[in-house]
Amino acid sequence: MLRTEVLVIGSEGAGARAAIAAADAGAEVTVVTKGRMTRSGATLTGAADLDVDSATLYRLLGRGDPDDSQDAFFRDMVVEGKYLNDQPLVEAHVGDVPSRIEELLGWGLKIYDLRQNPGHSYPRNLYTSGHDLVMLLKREIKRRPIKVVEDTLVSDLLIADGRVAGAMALDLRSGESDVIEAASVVLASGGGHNIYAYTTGPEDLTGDGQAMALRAGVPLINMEMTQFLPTTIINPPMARGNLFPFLLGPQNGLKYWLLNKYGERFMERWDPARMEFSTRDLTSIGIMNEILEGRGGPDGGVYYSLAHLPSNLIEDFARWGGKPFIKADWSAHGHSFRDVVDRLKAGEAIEVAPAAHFFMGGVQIDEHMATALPGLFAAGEVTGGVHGANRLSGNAFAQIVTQGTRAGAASAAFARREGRPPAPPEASVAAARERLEAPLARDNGVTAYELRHELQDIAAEKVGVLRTGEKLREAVARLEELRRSEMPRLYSRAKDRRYNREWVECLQAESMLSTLQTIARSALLREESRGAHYRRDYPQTDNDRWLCNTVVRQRDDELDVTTGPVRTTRIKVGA
Amino acid sequence: MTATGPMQIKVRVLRGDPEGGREPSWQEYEVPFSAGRSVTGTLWLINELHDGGLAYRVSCHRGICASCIMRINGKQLLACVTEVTGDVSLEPGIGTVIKDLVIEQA
Repeated sequence: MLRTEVLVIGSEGAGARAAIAAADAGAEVTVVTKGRMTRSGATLTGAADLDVDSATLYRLLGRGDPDDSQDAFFRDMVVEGKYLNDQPLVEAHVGDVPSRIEELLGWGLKIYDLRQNPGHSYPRNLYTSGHDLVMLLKREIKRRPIKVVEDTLVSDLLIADGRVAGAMALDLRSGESDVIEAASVVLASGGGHNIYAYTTGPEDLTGDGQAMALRAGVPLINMEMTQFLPTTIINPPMARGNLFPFLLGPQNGLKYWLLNKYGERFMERWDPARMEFSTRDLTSIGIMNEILEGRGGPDGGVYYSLAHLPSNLIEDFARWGGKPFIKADWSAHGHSFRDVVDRLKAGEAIEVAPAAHFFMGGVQIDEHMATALPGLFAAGEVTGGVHGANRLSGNAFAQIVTQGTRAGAASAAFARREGRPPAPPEASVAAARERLEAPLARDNGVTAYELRHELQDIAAEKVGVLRTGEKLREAVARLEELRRSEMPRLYSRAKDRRYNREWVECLQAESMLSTLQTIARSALLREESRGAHYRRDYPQTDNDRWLCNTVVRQRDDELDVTTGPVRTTRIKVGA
Repeated sequence: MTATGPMQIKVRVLRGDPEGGREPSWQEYEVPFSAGRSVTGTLWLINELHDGGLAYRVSCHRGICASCIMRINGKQLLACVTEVTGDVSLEPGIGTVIKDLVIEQA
């Protein structure tokens, strides 16, 4: 058994920053990750920007616009978040990010560019790379007495005397399960991207934290708010979900066209002013509408075309655009997109489709990153509230550093103030161990692969970009059936204990099922369209009825879905 | 290859589990061929169709994290961005083997 003061679940952006803050506050810290540090999670894959109000940039770098302010940044986030943001969280976000940026620059973060991305009233988007960011955070971790435990999957939170008391964990290398006792816990496990077969997210993100929080009785809010990135690769399959076309077009301004099979620029029906440079939510909705109504291409997407541009203009883009991610040889990260670009230059279109990109909903927290379970804090994409119904470009990196820091400091203060909890009750330890071991113990039933395929089919067909009450009801019914009848039959055919991928897939499939259930239930409840949540049967935003959070809790093995107030401390709709 | 089914390819994997006392040995799997599939996509299929215990690492699928580095037909490459075009042999990358294609990495 391992014992620590602060346990951080997740080693990348939010988790790493939380660990640093907790250690700086004097706590003994252990970070646990099911992958390896700097080689897993979504932060690493960010081809992305980091937001701060432009006046701060002017002060720190001599670039940017001194007319910007934290108030203006706050307003943009709430307006673009369709007023669903938790405003105390937004206040913490815009208020903290200047110090966090100053600190990152002091630690040596490289800035590649400064831009003004859609939804921002001022140039606030500092271009950095996820790779640079995680390497920097790892270096800071190594400078501190922080214990990092890799290849270890946390399967359940443990509770004693009404507060978190640690977690159950599986050491993937040895195949042994063990209890980690802790005085406080920071959940920083990221999103549940792999619920969707088309995703920009890495393999590790399977909603583990959301599912664990649910089982611990902690509420999740606004789970229906999944952001899709509109223009990602369909073929070749090995690049499926890659955001290369997004990097060319929306992100870097190359004037691409989206066409349906009749050659119509269908975005005219959704956003005639901005067309293909509309927001991510509207562009994804526009694309899926064409696909659903039979106007897509044979590969299941819509056409992405540069045929109206001279081929040498396209070729020249690689020299100036997309830095540091797109190289002069048209490689982006490890993929070569030379063939794709040659087709585009020759006047062909490629097919693209939206891919699950970001979870705006998640574990409900207050501005100290505290959840409803005493001692449990959460930070980053696993949380809900700060982005409301739509996340602005650059606010994911800003979120992980601001929330991570707050969660780390608060978890250390909690541990100091409250001291060690009693050991988790034996019965709950046994139950957690039993849940973890069950797929390995069963000799027959349903495989993780079968369950995962069905979950991904349900997610794509019934809980995707375009939603209806009818399809959502079907999804909810089938998912409940799967939870009742199939989850208890989930088994690993492979019986090795050591590094058994199939066993891990079983545990991940359970997390995906629980998380998808919360998305489907919340999406069915919200009878309106707002930001990333689009109901074809309720296409309008309804502020009279639905300016509220959806809240999911698990009670006695039943999911309870209700609404709750949005905290609006500063800006009201129309004000 | 059957008259109706998709073309099958052979994937040879050098498997071993030093701590579990299993010496390295080659195992061969047959999987359906599909153009544009990566080595990690193929390994996923082996897990699904033949043996879920075959160990390898993958995370980002974009050639950034380098978790999936291994020797593919003798060359040290990233498996997530390497396409399988026919029969292929896979060995662990340079380093101490933990299990099968999973190695110790800094």
